[in-house]
Amino acid sequence: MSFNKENHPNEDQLIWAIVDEAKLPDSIREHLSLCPRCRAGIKKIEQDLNNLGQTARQLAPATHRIISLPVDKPSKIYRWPHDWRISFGAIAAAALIIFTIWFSIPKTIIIEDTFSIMAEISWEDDDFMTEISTLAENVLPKIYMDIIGESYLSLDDEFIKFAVPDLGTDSLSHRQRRKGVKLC
Amino acid sequence: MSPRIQENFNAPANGIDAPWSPLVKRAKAGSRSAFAELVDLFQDDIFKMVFYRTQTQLDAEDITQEVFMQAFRKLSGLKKVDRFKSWLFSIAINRVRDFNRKKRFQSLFQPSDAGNDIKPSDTQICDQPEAIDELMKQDLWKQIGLIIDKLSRMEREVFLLRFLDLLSIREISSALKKSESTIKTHLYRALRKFRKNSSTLQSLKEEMP
Repeated sequence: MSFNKENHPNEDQLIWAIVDEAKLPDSIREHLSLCPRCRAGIKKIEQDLNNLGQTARQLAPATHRIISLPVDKPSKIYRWPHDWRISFGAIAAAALIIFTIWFSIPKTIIIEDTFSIMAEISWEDDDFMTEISTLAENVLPKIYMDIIGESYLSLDDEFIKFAVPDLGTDSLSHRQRRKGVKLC
Repeated sequence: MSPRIQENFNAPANGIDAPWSPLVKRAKAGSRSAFAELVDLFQDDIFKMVFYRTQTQLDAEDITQEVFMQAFRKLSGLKKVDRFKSWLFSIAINRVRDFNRKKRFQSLFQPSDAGNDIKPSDTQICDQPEAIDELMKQDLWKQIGLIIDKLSRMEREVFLLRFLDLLSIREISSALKKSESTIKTHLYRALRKFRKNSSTLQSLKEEMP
């Protein structure tokens, strides 16, 4: 096979030959495979690059540090929440259990229980209000009332009428006034 | 791709398992000893990769430690075991980026002449017998830095991964999460710029002890 000895690839094509020879046209690839001068040019660039790499490796210091790893890999119990499938399954199972329990309880029991609880609360409220009313009328406890004798006072209407009679027509003063008796 | 360069990279070919794949499988199953073997296999590569980018041994060692710690924790998430190497490098790349970001942020709160101070390592090496070698190395790193600094961020990353870290195009593509075509374009641009400075490299080669 003959090739054009004068048609040498330029510098850019030589660089492309190093990066990716397959990107070059067939004619240039053929030339590169047969031309000793071009091959030497590519070899020179490669040699420079190899020198750079070798020089860098020689200049870099050696490391003597021992890499330390975590004491222990996390246990499976710790790791399982990180697996979304396991987490999802666990959440779904928990939800299923809750729903099962909820629907297995008869609703009538729940309603009856609710009514009885509400009635109990209502009675407790009544008792409490009564206690508050008693306290509002007389703050002192009964024992204090016994001590001061207040508890024996029966201030009913009959006693009040007796102690303070009405100024009506049945009163003694009214009758005497009608008879013409001067009271003072 | 030239076969001569490709033979330097022990990257797995398409469809063939990487030599470290069985170790990765065992490590994924929870074997600490398998992971320790992977550390032995890749510690030097990762350390050097980080050192090329940080230029500080202490920082490079710290970051290498963090890379393997993260790899150990996240290994269960690795789907393709033959991509372990590129996956490890992608962790390292991200860690270096974090480090550089943090460093830039810290430099905002430091006095501007802080960088002119003599580094402790400089004074330290003057007392050592191999002080000249060390200073020469530092000078050579500066020259390599000058070549690298002429590249854009992405060109630099691809160039370093390809010719200093010796990753294949496929591994770089996987580590940087870019298409192989994009990687080749960046590599081509980087090589063009590199060729313009090859004289620097020549002097660098001559100075090597």
